[in-house]
Amino acid sequence: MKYAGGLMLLLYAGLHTFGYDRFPDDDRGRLPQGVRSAPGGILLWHSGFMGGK
Amino acid sequence: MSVGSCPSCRAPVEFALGGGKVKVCAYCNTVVVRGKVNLETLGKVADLVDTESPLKVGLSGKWKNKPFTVQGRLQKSRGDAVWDEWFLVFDDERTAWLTESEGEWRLLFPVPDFPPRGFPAFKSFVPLSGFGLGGNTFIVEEVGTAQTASAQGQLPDYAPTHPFVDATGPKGIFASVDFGGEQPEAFVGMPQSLADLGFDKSELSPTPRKEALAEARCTNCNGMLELKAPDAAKRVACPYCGALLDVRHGKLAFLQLLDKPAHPPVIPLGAKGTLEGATWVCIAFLMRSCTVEGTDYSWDEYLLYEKAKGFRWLMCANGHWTWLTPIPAGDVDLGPRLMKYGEKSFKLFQSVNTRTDAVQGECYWEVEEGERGFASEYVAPPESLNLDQSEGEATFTLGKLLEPQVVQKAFGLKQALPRATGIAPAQENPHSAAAKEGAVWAGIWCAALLGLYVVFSALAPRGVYLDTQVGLAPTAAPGSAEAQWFSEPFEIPADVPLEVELASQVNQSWLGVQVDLVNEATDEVISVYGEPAYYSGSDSDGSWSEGSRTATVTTEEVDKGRYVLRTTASWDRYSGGYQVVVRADSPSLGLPCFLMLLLVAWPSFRALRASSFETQRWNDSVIQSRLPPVKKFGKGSTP
Repeated sequence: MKYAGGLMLLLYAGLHTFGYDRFPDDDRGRLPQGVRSAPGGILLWHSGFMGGK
Repeated sequence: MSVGSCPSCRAPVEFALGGGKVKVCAYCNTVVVRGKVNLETLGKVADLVDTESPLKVGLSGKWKNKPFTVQGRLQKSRGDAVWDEWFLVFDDERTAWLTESEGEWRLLFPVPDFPPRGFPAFKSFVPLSGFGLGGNTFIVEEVGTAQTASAQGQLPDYAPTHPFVDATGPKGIFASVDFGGEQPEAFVGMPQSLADLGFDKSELSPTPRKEALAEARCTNCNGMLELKAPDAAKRVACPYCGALLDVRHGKLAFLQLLDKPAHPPVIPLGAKGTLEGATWVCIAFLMRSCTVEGTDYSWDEYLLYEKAKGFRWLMCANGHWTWLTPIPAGDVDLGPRLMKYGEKSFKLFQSVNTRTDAVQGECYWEVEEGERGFASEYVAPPESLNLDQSEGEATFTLGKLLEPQVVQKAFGLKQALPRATGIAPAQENPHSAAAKEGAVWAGIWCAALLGLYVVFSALAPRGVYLDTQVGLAPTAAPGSAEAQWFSEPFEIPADVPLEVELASQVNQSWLGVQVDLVNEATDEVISVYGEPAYYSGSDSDGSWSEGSRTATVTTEEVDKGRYVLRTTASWDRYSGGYQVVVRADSPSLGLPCFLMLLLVAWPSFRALRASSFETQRWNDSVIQSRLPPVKKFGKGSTP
């Protein structure tokens, strides 16, 4: 216990530093090609809806 | 010095100055008392019994540089036992009594202005009752009545019987209250060694008992007994034939034939062993037992003797060895369930009615086969406080567990001692120390983790980057382009994880919102989905509700930069709109909590094992009521 706690502390510090200390809900992707160059630009990007029931 | 004539034989009777008012005529044993005018007689006393005491009337000594003279000797008897009490007169006219019990000498001074008003009568005293004297509280160890067997020399007074109460106070102070006279008298003092009393060694009489008994033979089987403590022995049980012999006046007298022990002693009688810094001789072996719910439980006891330190006991129960040292009752804070000795509190573990099943060797009390007693054990592992009670007597011993190997090595036993089974009452819990240490370290590291979390939280960026209300057109279809909304570009000033909060006045419905965060510089899209949903109603159990009108979702760290937020809503019932808030997320408490759980898991496991050990220990706890005494028994200080 004397040293295991120190290891836990280091583990937490490391995971926090590298951003692994959370359980995020996000998905990451890229804006589909052509959206920027299309008329209206991003404001007319209507595709890609993932939510709803 | 004043001189008179014995009223009985007319022999000269000399009274020393400053001494007592009673003198025993050296010629006719008449007890002469100085009256107001003449010498008067109080009758005659029997001849002195040879108690093999090294002292004699007329000896001079010095205690704490104060010279004194032994002026008188009072011989008292109780049952078969006869002992001496020596009357000392100091040069400064103080008086004192010197008594001997179990090889221990006590110098006792009279308590002035005794008895105080309201001091209890003799009948009020029982063993373990308490009384105050000179600012100290004394605990009664023995209550009894002694007879005056004989007397010699000059004495302060004379009484044929002496109802007495012996008690101990804190730090070994001894008190004796004598109810023999018109008024009770109290004497208080401390144990002394003969060396402390400054006697001239050449004047001390040799103890013939030692010479007579050292090579005594059993009067029943003629076996060689080789007594190890002939000065202190009152009973000897022959190891060859089982005869119980009474030791009186340097001779052995057959009393009865005892049953042989069910098994021989593991430590042979006469074996020498070094324990607690002294070399002890095993002088007696006793088998004792108690009956609990119809089952007999037995244990062995070994009486050890060392000339300077006196007696100790080694007890063996289920292979667990306990070293028992007598302690004064006055040093114990008494309680029915809890007793305190020194700084430790001892909890009552068992109280049982005991009997002595077998005896071998020599004992300092008048042991008898089948003796009954009442023994209580209070525990504070690894120590125990043991109280042995008999009619009129109570004695305490402090117990300390010894490993069998320690006993084996101390006495040089060739055969390994049997392994201990079960849990001894005062056995130290092997898990509690680890559990306590683990709990302390878990606490320290949990605090450190929390501290680190607080530091990370304090250093984390803060701020609300977007907070807006989004309206939905009544005609918009769920999930359609009309249900989409785009924000104005906004700045996220640092690399930071985000928290997106969605709130809507949904009722008996849900509103799902897809949130897409587009980095204008990199075209990275970070998508999250949140769904406020709220339902309520009532049934036979009453009203209920479920869900929440607010939903919060988080992202991993996002790069700093300009972002546009697109939301796409979907619903099962139109709710008018919703609020979107995008802010910096604080560090999550989930990971440190998870790590803290891991940290407390091990000490919790050890604590469970410690608790299980204690449960097992206390399952064997027995509390019996004390049966009426049948025969005298005790390890205590019968004079």
